Amino acid sequence: MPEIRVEGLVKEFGDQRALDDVSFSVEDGELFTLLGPSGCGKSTTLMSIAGFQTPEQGRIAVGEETFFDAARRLAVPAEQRNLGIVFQSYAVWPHMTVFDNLAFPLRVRKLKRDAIRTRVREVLELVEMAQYERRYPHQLSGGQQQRVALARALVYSPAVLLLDEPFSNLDAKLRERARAWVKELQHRLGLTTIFVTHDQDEALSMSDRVAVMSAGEVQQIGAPEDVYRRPANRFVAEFVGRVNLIEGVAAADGGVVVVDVTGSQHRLTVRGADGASGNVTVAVRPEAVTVLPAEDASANGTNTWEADVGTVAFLGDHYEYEVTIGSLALTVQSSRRVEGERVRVHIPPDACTVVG
Amino acid sequence: MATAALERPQPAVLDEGAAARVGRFLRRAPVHVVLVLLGLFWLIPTTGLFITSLLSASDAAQGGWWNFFAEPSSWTLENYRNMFDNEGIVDALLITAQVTLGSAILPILVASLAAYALAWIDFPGRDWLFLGVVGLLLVPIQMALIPIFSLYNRFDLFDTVPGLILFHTAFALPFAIFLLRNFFAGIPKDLMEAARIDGASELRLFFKVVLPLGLPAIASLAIFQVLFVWNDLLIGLVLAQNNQPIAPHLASQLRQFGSNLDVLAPASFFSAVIPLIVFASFQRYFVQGLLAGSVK
Repeated sequence: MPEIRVEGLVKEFGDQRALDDVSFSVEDGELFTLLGPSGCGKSTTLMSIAGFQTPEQGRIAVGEETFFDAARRLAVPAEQRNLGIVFQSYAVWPHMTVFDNLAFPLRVRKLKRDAIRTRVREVLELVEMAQYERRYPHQLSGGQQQRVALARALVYSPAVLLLDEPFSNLDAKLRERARAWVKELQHRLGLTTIFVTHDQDEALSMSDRVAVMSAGEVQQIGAPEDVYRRPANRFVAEFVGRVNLIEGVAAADGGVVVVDVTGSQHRLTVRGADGASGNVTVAVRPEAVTVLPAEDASANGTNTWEADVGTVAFLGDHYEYEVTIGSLALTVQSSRRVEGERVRVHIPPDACTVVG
Repeated sequence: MATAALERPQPAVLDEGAAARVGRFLRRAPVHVVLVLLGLFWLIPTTGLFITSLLSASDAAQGGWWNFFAEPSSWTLENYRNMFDNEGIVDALLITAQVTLGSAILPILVASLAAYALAWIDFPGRDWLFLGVVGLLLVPIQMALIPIFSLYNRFDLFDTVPGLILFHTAFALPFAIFLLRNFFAGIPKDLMEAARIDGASELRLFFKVVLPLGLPAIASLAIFQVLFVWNDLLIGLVLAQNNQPIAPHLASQLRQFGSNLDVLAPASFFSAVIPLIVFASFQRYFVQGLLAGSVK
């Protein structure tokens, strides 16, 4: 039974479609990420779920309740949805102490003073901010404010947690720690979470499933490995990680793409290209390509070609090769350093995905 | 092309000797002297008033309060003591206090609600309404005095404290709404959305989030109002007769008994000092409030 169901959201700002038939569902306890560049509609989707935006079409349901249904003209106000949200700017109230910030939603729900105190202290312990109870937000660092914002979202045990790019204001080191920490917390509490970000590292490392969005449309939904290794289309292939895109023509005998390279033709065996015909684009991740010495005669199998080395860069944990096979340029990532101006590259069929 | 050699900028003076420091002081001295003299000059009337209030009736009648400096021992506090016994003046002061308090609180209440709606609630005709309210800033008080005078007579509001409060409030509202609306508009939207998602109703949002954040602007509004209403002469003169605030009361005393300085001086000085105290206590809000709505 999915916890959150989003169906067919359409949102227009003037004649611009911010959301174009956005649909997905989130399982109970899952951390689901909306990933995409600025302006792709991921924040608009989140705000629609929260109740701050009203789409023109579509349906949003959480658990048993329907929060939004354009057809029935139903839109439950944000204050009645019992969701938790952490804004990009944290939105911690500057005129209240940390304690009062957390107590606010509990007071709205008319809890008794003692109950409030207990619960606030409990959640502050959870986010490791117990000793900052009496401080004001301007006396806290960015990371601390963020934890207060998170605590405030959690204090009334919402059904769902919404996070709108919560780490973008933190420095890189803090961001990594915050990611791991939030993921652990979310997992421990089993809280269904929707996470919005433009940072693909974040999306890949934290999510149970990712929805890649672009220009208001959902491009692909899947587990991080799937989205990374089997991108559904060119956009996803290019947006998530780095990729080599190889143009070619699908051969009559399935599973092979003929790549035309300045005169000579190479046959690229591609897994899953059976149904394809005509011009296709094949995506290959740089780290999937292996580099071998040119003289290595044993390496003469499928998808193994000779290439000229353009540049080699050392990046600490790996080398990056820019090679050319005639007119085809490839980026290769390898932990091996192969000397020479000519090398052999091998592209495993499994690493090739037809993306268009 | 000849390039003139760039002069190295002179480093800031950090290590100067005592002689250099004295030199700098002397160079700035004329400006300081002028400023001090100007300040003292402006203080002359107030000082004169203060000293006169300390003189006994006979001394005051002789005129020339500056002679006080020749014989500083002749001051007395009996004028102030008598002032508090003077029913007319005490009543006037109390009326002024009531009118001022009411005219500070009521506009704030009404204007803050209006400002919040104009800033954050999207309703049809909102912008025109705001334009209209701001346009009312142009209406001069003098234009409304006579119509309101007859209106008050019809509704028995003439010569009453509520009547004065209502008039002051009405004329305070356009500016108050303008100031507060711009200030509220500068509150980050996130802060209010966060309150909404936490379940807050509109009213709770207003009282617990918007108002506290608008405190600087509200405080400065309150100060503006106190200063203006306490010192007001015109409105009190026209819309009151037997229950006049302090300024018109003293003015009428001056007309009738121009010679009783022993009564007028302490009352005037006392009346002048009150808003000064308010200003001094809330001064930091005042300065903050001057920038209210101008810097996001």
